[in-house]
Amino acid sequence: MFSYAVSIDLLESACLIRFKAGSTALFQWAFILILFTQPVRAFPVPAGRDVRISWNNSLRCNRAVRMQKRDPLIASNAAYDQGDALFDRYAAISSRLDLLSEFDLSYRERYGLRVTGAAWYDTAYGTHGRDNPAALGAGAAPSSYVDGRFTPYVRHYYKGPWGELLDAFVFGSFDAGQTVWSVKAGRHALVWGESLFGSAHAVSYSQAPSDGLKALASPGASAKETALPLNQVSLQTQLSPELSVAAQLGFEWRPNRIAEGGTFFGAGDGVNEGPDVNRLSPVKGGSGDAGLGLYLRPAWLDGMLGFYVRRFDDKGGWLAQAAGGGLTRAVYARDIGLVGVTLSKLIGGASVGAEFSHRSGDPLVSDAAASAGAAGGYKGARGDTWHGLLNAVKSFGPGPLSDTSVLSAEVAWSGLRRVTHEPQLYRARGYLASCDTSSNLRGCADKEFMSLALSFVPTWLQVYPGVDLDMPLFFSRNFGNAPSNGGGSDGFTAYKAGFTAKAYARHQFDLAYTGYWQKIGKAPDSVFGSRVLGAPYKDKGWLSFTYQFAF
Amino acid sequence: MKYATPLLLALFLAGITRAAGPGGLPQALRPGGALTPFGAEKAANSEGSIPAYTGGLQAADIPADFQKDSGRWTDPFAGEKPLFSITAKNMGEYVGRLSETSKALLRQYPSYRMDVYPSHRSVAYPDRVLENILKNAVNARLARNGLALEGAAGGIPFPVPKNGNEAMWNHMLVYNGYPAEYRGRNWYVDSRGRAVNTGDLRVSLESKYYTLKAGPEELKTRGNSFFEAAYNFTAPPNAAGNAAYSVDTLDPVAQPRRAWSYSAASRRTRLSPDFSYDTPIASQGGITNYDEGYLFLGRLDMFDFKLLGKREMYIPYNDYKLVFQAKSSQVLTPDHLSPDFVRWELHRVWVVEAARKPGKKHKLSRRVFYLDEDWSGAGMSDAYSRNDQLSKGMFMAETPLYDAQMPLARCYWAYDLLDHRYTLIQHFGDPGMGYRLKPGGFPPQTFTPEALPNRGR
Repeated sequence: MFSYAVSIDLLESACLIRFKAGSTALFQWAFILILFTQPVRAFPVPAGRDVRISWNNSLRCNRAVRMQKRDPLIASNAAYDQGDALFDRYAAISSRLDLLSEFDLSYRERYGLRVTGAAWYDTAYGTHGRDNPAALGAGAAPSSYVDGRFTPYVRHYYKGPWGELLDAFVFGSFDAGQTVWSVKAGRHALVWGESLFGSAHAVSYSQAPSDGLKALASPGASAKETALPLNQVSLQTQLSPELSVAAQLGFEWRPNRIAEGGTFFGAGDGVNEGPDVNRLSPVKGGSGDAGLGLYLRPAWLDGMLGFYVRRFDDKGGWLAQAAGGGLTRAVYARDIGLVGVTLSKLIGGASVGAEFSHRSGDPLVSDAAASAGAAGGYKGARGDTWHGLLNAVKSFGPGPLSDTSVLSAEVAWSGLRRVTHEPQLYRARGYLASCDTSSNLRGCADKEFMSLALSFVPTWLQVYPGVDLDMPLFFSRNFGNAPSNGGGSDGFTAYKAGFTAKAYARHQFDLAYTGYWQKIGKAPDSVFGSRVLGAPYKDKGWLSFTYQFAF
Repeated sequence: MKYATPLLLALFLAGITRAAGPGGLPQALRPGGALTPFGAEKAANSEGSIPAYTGGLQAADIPADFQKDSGRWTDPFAGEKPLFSITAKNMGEYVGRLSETSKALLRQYPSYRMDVYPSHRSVAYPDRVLENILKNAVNARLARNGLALEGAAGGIPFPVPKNGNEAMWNHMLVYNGYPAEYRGRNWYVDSRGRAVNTGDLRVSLESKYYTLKAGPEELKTRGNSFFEAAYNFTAPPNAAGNAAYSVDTLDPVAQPRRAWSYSAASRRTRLSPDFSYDTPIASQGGITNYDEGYLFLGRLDMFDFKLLGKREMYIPYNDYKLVFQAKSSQVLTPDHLSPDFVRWELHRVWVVEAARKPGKKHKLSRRVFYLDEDWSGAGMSDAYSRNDQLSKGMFMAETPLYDAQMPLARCYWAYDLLDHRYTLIQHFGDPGMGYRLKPGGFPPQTFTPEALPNRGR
């Protein structure tokens, strides 16, 4: 009998061999590593009761295909044509292998270190991009790459094979009387607060740079890979069961990674680190992010209150600030202040989270055609903004539909309090003349913004021996153009539906369709002929198949 | 004849209740009475197959190969041979002493067998716990229609249970290895016989009900918890680093279970939504539900619990070989646990029948619990689902920690009789696994949600 356990093993091998062909030493090494560990399977290496070592690895194979044909309003707009031209309908947009390796060592569970690393290789990407020679506005937005050749940054993070070190930190935990002090030092990521879907309006905004590039290029990547660690020292002190304090001090700054210009998911051909035509080096943030959190669990509340004060440099930026002579550069705002309060409480069996925060010096949506110039550090407008979110997670037991299911919902809100810097650059009606007409489609900010995200995941257990099946469904939509830079575009909608099968608690298969809707329109007054609100994804619906296993 | 004992017992109970007088200690629990302080019958059964209670395993009974602090307890009865084996062929002779699930397993699988060994009433209690039980016998009372408990601490609350709810509270409050930390392994075996390791866990266990020595009133002001568990996953690899913490209280109406989970991927601790009742636990192959930890752990509001009385039955007992010595690869055979490693003994058990209340939504329509009269935590359950069909059964093995005067029933297993799979929870037999008492308690703030990231890294 051809057991499907055997077929999983075959798939494992196929996943590996497929990439072994034409692979480099790096992947031969991965292959050998996997062969080696097959009989052993999982470690925790038993190193005595005091010292514990574990080495966990996971390998992920992705195959994703573009399912929609090009929309001329995107394909013929020179600001977006390269990303749209790269792959035809039904072409593979990802054919990628990812490895995540995690090494943990601890002594008496109190002191230790953690080092993780990732490597990848994607045969869907080559060394060159594509463009649409007939695109409108090529004078204003020429091809982003010299001779169409991807720069090393793009080649490394897409085609590979390439790798990087992620976490690298030491930790220790110390008791002082009835209090406990935990310290981490080195590269690690912190994410505070209660948000569920994204951090654009959360107290964790810009706390850890996110790897949006990988999140899109390699579906199935967990936050272990997509929340990028920073060199910092962090402390958590538990003073009593009701009171604890967290603090962080950063020694490194890194920006968010986003899909690069000219790649399938690029938000615009001209951005960000990759393009080498008309592009200047970014004006970066610096080290010195600091944050303080205070957590209270008063008995009367039967929940947790969090209070936060943070000062940090932006990890997302104004990505295309005008630098004169048709040149652009990314500019990252320094010294954003944030104060926030959060609540977490069980209400009606649902885990409810809420956040409310105020940011000062928040980067605002700014004029695409101007900036504060060299003297002003090429910055855009900044101001004080309010942000809030409310979310709930509820689990359901067996019902007619499924064995169990989890519903998660989040509403985020944001509003402008006042503009404090460079008001003439603030892209909003009453500030910028161009926002007086068709302001919405131009991305001109509204006074308030809202977004809604819903996730529903029904689960069927043991649909086949050893196999559980999930059907993850996701929907999100924005209402209004957010005042904050990168805060969200009106009408932008993302949805995803698929199946996830988990076999033997080690293998996972995902099949998912992701689609988008957005506002887009003809623009005879523009050299580009069209206006696209938000990242140009309306014609980029895609189907992905992911297989991952851990060992 | 099935409930001959209960009938006698009912009369007997009526007697002791009268003999007790208002607010006093029942006569039978007093020195020289018919019952041990924890309410079990002191005497042997009439045929002598259940011995009299003589104080459980003592220092003199500690086997020579036992290594203190090894986390494993070796078998003090290793030299014994089975008295007989129950198989599908001869089960008719023993039918009154088998749970419905045991019978179904014998009928379903020709390879299933129950090796019955001499019975040993091996559990022992420290004096402090026995004294508390006698206090509880006078002061403990149910509240909120039997859903909550008041006036008890430090021992089972109802040595002479008068109804199903009292018996279930006894079971949830058995003196069972607190405070302690274990490394255990969880498994399920799918219907094709493949064993799936769903978790290697390091778990810290605490019960303020037992460790806070100040009594019920103080306990109430200090959170009223009777079961706190902090879990840290070390395997499988995709779960390694995750952690969770849960608290169960004596008043689950006013203070329902609270649970928090830490995700190593998102690096955040979140309050968990309410996972309870018949929501299946995916990591146990969907065989058990959230209210089936240790046979039963949860709110008593979905069922009417009726105390049927006592019976003599074969339950897993003194299973040192299975729990601490056998490797999972030896134990986890297709269809059922390897009969070579499961020791069965005849013990008196309290039988509680739980019928789903009208209008309540729960996958199970009826459940029957068989709980060791010595309140060791050992026992069994039968579960019935749609059309009153027997669908599932559970077993929890007893392995008293003879050097510590402490009962231990942590390892349990469950069979899904319809889908032919089973799960084994908290197995300590593999290298690196084990159970360790922490008489000195835990470092400060171990049992808080904020501590989870430190446990999980």
